[in-house]
Amino acid sequence: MSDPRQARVRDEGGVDQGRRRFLGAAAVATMVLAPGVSLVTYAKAEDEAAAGAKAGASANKRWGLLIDTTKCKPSCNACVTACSAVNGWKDEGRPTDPQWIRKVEVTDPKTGLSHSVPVMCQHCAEPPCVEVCPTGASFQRADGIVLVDRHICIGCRYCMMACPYKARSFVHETLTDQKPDVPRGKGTVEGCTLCVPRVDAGEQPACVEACAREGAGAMMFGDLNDKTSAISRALASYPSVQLRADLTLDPGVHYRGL
Amino acid sequence: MAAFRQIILAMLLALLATVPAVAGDVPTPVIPAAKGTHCVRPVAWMRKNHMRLLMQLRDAAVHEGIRSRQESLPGCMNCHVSKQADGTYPAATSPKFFCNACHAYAGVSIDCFSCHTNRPAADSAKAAEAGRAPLFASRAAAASLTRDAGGAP
Repeated sequence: MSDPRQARVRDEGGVDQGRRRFLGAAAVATMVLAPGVSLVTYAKAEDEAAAGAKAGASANKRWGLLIDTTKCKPSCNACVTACSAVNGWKDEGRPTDPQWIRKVEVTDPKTGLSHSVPVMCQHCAEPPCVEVCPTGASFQRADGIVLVDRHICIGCRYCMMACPYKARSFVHETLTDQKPDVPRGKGTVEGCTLCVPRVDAGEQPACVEACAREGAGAMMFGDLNDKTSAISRALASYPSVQLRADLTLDPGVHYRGL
Repeated sequence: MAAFRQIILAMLLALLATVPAVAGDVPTPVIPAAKGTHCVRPVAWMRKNHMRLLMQLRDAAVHEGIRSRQESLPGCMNCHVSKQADGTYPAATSPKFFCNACHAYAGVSIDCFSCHTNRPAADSAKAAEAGRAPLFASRAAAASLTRDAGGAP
């Protein structure tokens, strides 16, 4: 019973003390009747809880991306394809289809210099989507990842209007066959999660992995707070920009060569 | 007095005799068997508190990033959902689906599965694993992610 999570779950019911004592006695009886089963179960649950607690989102970290637009090719769509495959969304070209990440072609009209850049949720330090959300569904994790808690989202789409990067999509139709780690459903807003289940498991976002594997290796993922991380060293060694830096939202996604 | 006692005894016996019959007449939910040997908590506790546990785990996972493979909704699906005789998985609305066996019986609608998959993660996870190479072999190695992530662009 040393697991605080379990203790919290048990304490949530507003039961009176007499009933609690009775239930406590019942729990003890269970342990005695089936000691092997219950003890093994509790031991496992506590081990997992301890391992998970260490891996939780930490305020010491700030996850970010660095995208080298001098390497990214207009012909390559690997990041978008990988995101779609891993997260289970499909862009079939309809105006209401979700786009967690998209390739944007930008050209300087004066010089004709053009770039192809992947644009996804920029995971701002000061996210306007979080500021405007009326229910608290749009939130920022301790490690800077901006997410929608779709258990709380009422689908008002205020965040979609507030986002200067058009990073969020609304699910208009009933969905089936969602990915186990990526629940998605009609009536809620969604967007790039920086592949949060993968990041929590110590892996990289799907787009970064696909870019390294199939693309030009133009994307880098890492901790912006750690000055020794590869991404921080790269950011310190050459110029990069944040999209619409004038809005002072301090996005976690940086672009080189724009 | 003895006759009265006998009547009372007869009535009690009659009452006892009717109890199993009454219980037998009440339809009970047919709960599909799980694949594993034991649940993540004692079964009696889970019957009463599974939604509290799920919501606790849900908030920990979504907001704090504390995830457990076994103690999660996909973890429940892995153990509690099996293919039917015809090779398909039961629909989330079917009483043959584990959660719905009781929830349909109790007349309680659940909307978890309008967003979450109601199939075991193992099948689709295997397919996903095939397409990606984990960056780090262990969770301990993952701690070095802060320093070593990504290649130099």
